[in-house]
Amino acid sequence: MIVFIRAILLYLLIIFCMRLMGKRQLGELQPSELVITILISNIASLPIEDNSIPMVMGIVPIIVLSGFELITSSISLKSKRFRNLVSGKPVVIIRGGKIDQKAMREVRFSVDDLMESLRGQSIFDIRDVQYAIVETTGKVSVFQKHDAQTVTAKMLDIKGSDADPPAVVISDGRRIGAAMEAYSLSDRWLESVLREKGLKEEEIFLMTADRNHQYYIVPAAAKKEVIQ
Amino acid sequence: MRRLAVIGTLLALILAAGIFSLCWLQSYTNRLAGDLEAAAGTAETDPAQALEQLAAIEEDWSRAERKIGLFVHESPLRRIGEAIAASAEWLRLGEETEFRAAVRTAAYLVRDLARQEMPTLKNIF
Repeated sequence: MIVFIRAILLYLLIIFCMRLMGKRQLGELQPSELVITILISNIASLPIEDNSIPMVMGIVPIIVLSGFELITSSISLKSKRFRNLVSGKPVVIIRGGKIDQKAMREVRFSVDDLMESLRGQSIFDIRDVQYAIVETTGKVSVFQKHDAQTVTAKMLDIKGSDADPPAVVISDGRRIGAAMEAYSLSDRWLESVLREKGLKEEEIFLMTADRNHQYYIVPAAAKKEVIQ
Repeated sequence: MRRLAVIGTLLALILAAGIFSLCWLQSYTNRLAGDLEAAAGTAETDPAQALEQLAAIEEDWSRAERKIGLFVHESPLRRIGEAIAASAEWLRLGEETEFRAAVRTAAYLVRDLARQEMPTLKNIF
């Protein structure tokens, strides 16, 4: 029972600390964030497993580490020098279509690592790469040569407007008020659409809509038929 | 900015609680070790009164142990409790040499508890 309560308390504390550290922590990790994540997971497991260790021995280091991570990231935001010290700098490993072997050695990046990263971005021919940069998270960002780039509307000089993507307005039978408000979609409009389709709100698995009132409905499993 | 304020407050609270607990532990362990030594002194002239003193010390320790257990590992606390109980037992049996040794051990363990919590270079590293 004690272990159960301790586990819940520490879980809640870690969630609180992760939220405090911000969303960045949940995505790609910077070196300092990776260290904090590993440390926190280890520290939290000790008082859960061993009842003779006071909870304070888990709580205090978790809060202190989270706090210092937050302080470090705040200083990093303000100081580029500090940011470089803590997170390192992005390193260009392909410059102007040429592989910089010295830079690759510096970041201990093998040819296999490079090819794997390129393949991950659907680039199978290294000659298509104009620039490749190893980011501080270890991810490789690639800028392709002009003749290998995906054709864009800009390249073809096709004019158009920047429309907002459709938003989810009903999810699992529940109306998302914030999305409707953001897209200026009225409850009246939604109810008229549902009436027209002969559906109730609870019978909808997913409904998306854009500012132009273009919508897409996926009914719940019982009424499986996509409506557009 | 709000996050920094929250974490800053938490860190300040932790620091304040840490300093307070350290000061309290220092004064409590000094007093307890003094009481143990006083009981040892009393035992030379009046063993019955020394036994009463030790019973009071045991009761006091069992109350304090719960508080100290919030921030100190359980094993050193258990050792102190056992040493105090052993002192009383030796005195009850009338074994003076063992009693003296047990009281010295208990007093040392009590003082060592505060020493181990002090943020000295030796303890940190």
